[in-house]
Amino acid sequence: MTSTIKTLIHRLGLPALLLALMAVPAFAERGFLLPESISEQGDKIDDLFWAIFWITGLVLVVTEGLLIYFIVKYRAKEGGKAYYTTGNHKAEIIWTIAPSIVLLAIAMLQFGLWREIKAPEHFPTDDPEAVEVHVLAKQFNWAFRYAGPDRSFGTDDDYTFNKLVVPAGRPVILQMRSIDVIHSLYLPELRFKQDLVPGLTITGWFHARDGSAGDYEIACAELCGASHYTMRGEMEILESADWEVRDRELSAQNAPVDYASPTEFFKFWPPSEFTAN
Amino acid sequence: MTAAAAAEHGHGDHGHHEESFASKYLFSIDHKMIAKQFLFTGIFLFLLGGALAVGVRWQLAWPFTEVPIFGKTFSPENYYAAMTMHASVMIFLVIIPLLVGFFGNWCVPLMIGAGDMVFPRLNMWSYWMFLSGAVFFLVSFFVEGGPSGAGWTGYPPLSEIQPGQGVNMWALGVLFTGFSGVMGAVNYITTILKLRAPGMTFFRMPLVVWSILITSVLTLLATPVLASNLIMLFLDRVAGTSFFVPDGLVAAGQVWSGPDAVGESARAGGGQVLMFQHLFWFYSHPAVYIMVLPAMGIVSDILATFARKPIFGYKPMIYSMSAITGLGFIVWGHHMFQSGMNPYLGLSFMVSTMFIALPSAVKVFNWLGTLWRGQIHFEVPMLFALSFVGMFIIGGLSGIFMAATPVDIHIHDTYFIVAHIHYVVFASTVMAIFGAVYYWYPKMFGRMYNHTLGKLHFWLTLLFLNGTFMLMHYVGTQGHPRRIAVGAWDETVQAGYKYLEDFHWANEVMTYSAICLGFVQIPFFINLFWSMWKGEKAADNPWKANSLEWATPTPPPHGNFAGPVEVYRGPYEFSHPDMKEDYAPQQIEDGTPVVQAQAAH
Amino acid sequence: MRRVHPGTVGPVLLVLVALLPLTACDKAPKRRGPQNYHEYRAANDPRYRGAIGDDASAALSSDDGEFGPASGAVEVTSADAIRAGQVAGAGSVSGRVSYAGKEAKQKKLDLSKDVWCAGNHEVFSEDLVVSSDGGLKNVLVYVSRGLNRFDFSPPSTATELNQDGCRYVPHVVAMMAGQDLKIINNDGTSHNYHFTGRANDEINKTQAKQGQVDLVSDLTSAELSAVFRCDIHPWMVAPTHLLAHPYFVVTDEAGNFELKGLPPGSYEISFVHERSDMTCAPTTVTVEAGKAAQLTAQFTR
Repeated sequence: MTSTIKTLIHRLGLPALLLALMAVPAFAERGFLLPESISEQGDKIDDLFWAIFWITGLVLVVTEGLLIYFIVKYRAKEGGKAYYTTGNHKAEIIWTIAPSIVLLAIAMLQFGLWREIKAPEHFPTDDPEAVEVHVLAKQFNWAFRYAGPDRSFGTDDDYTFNKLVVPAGRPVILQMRSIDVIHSLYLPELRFKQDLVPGLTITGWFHARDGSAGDYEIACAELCGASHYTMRGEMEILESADWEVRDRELSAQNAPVDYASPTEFFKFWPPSEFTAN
Repeated sequence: MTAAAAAEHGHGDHGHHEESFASKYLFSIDHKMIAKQFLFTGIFLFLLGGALAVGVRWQLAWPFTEVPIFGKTFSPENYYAAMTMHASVMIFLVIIPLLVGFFGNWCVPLMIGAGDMVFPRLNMWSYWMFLSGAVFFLVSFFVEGGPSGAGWTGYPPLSEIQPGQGVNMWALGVLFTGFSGVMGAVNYITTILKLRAPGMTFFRMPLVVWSILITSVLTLLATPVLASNLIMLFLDRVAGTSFFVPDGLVAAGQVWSGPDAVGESARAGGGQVLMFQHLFWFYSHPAVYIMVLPAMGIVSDILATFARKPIFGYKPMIYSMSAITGLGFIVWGHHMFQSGMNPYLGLSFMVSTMFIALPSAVKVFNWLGTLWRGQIHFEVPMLFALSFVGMFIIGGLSGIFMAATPVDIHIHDTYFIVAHIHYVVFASTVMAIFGAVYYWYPKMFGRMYNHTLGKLHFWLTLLFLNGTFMLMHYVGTQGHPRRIAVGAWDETVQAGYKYLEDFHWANEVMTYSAICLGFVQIPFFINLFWSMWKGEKAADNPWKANSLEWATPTPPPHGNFAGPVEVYRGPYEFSHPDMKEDYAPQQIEDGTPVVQAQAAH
Repeated sequence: MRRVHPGTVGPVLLVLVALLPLTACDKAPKRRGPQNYHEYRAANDPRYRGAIGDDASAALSSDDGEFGPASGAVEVTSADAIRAGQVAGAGSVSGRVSYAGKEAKQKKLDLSKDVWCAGNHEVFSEDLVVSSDGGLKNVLVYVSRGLNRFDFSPPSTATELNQDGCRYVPHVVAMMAGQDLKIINNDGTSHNYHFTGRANDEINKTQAKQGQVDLVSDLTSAELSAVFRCDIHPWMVAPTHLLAHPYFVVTDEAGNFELKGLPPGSYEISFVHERSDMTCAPTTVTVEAGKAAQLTAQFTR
């Protein structure tokens, strides 16, 4: 009986395990491990994620498989003696060089993407379609300032609103500040995350894909105090034309930003500092 | 034996039976007793840290409901305090002291054939410094405002604006444990350099000793940076300086730093928030290696002993540990990819981070090579060592996702990173610690642990740790931020995130599993204390291992060795084809072990 | 029996030293000269002094001047009795505070940050609430001079601050320094109460769930115009006044007030409203035994 089981483990155990592990990624369509991406940059991040997933997955299967195989195969037997070896120079070289090539490859894969997303010279500031929004975080609220229909800050149609309302299919540039502690603006579906550091104005951008209109949530990803968990924000993505309408509507309702009265949020980010970067 | 060790030895022998309780158990200068002090203090604090972890898990599964036994509902402040103290206690008071303070103290002099540490009194101080740090942490639970709730990273300005004494206590506690670490490091380095027995060349030292040596170098170089950082934070809090306070911070509607500042706490401003993070991670990234390198050394020893095979690639193992040390100092920025530092700096940190995976990979392959064609004995320590290898692979590979800067944008500060750190620090290091406690138990207490309880402990721990931490990867990639008190949207408190509602089941499963993980440590504690008095008497060398600690009487007396020791070969000469026995202790010249009545098989 | 090595004294001392800071936990350091940046600025910059509202603490003057109870007037020290109006031989002051100036309208607030608040409640701004006939609500009326002879102990009952319908009820907290304050979350959402003042330590706590009740007893120093606010709902702000005596009251909807149980004598009565852009000068009043002195005051903007 036991020998049958052992044979089964020997003959079938490893292949079965491999198959089981292969089956996992079969479900790994977009949306299984990652929330559905709604931006081109998000897609590229996901592609990189899956590339790393497959590479590390393969390494995982091979190394864990070998570990289990060795554990089963080389368990102590009566009168058995271990094979004496203190190492193998060639093997060491192989398993130093091989992973370093793989790691270098993974490193090279991401240079371009990281720069595309984060490097200042890649920000779509020259794009006439681009929409700029000022983000100000405080314990435990998000506030957003919009330039209004005239697209320039410091004018009378500027308005503030507690939701991030942005168009789909157009780049959105965010200028971000925090007035008290470090917060982090996290938009999971857009694969966007950026810490807001007091004392700095940080620029970020995203480009929601056409057809991604809908309501989304904004998370704060950096511990910002005891009520950190209540710092949930909302994001509304509208198709470009709808957004124009909504923008005018909101501007009419909420403009202008009242710098005189102590609304706290934007009192500390005067028009003279609008173009910090 | 060198003169210093011999002197210490003789001194110890004479005083041995006349010692008072205080000088034997409290102010001992015997490295083995100090090791035991670290062990028992560490284990007590491990219980505390574990209880806090279960509390945190409870809150995440069933937010703001009454916690059984504790009998109270978490307030958000208490939750963040529990979360902060769980991490701080586990890292600064459990893992580092157990690995370095306990194993370093226990193993180093015994394994290099020394009578004691070169500075025994400094060694005692190191323990008392550590205990002072622990006292600060414990006391902070009772001060006004409770313990720090700013996270174990203590990022300002949050850590600066928290009222009460909690953060001050936290900073002092970390500072004192840091002193303790530096004292220990100086002692280990000097001891290893100066007190090796005749014949114990560097490349005949067991990997445990190598790992402690390398860890000590890391500790010595990195800890002062953390200390300076904490002192600046402390001054910011108590003396009104502005190291980490930029201009124009606003609290409760008033500017409190810079030229426009008003209010009681007003200060000059002009500081830099990110400087804290740079200095903090300059220490705390190497600290991760401080938390894993000794475990790697321990596992290497256990694997070789129970596979009855020399370690595969002894020198590459040492070189890879050294490489980790070197690279460990230039990768700290990977904790800060999304922090607002220059994105090009992110790229260089990404490359160095990718390459620090390499030495770890080499070590894994060497461990596999050690098992290859071995004779694997499934004693309890071996089970833990094998699971270390398996879990370390998972923890190591998940690190590559974070190292990839664009992917990190999505998974930074989510549960994915929580899963990663727990696979490295709990599933790997703590398992290695368990393995090591079982491995050296017979030598330490002179009695054998109960094998059945040990195996029960191992299998249940392995099961529940995976149940707890594996799903964290899953909720992490789905965007579950770490450090939130409410995960999925909760109607009663109107908080949490609706996009996480589908994954709340995972939080519950993890909590059930974490509770079980807590309970299955009971066999370990029963085993630890019961076997100390009631266990079977252990032989001097029950595992037929080669290194010098097994050449001492059991348990080793003050001064360690019964006579002069000389070393003739490396520590991993198992199953040599020319030898009759499958092991060859380092101190026996012709390689034939002394046959011991108890050790007959 | 071997003696403990002298070197072991070190660790013991170390632990003791480690515990030293604890002894200083709650004590303010006593040093000469400015102790922080604020005091330095306050000492050197008159504009700065004004900005932080030192005039408000000056209102709690210890200089009685010509004011005070008539000689032989009843001695009162029990705040409980005074609040209950059970002081024999005492008089009272009653009257009305009115408002004159630009039209005051309560604005409807944007609650959309919190789904629960927006779905269940409508909240109007409360920083200026004027009745149809001009009575001003939420004015603190208190005796600012004439009471230094007495030493009052705080009342035994706690005063309440409710978080109810995403607003503070009452809108103005007026209590005796040292009195307990019960803070209650009546809402189906999380609130946090964040107290900032100048004389008292900051308090910052979250009440995650409906029905949570916290008892605050750390507000022990007298000060005016401190504030409770909710960091989760930025519109929630409650001006908070801590008095050294029990002779204070907050005007009602119609702007009316009554100060009971004052020993006969002359007093200065002051008025505080949260809007910094309107003021009202203090009034002098003479109280006679068993009679209610009348007075009116007006805030203009």
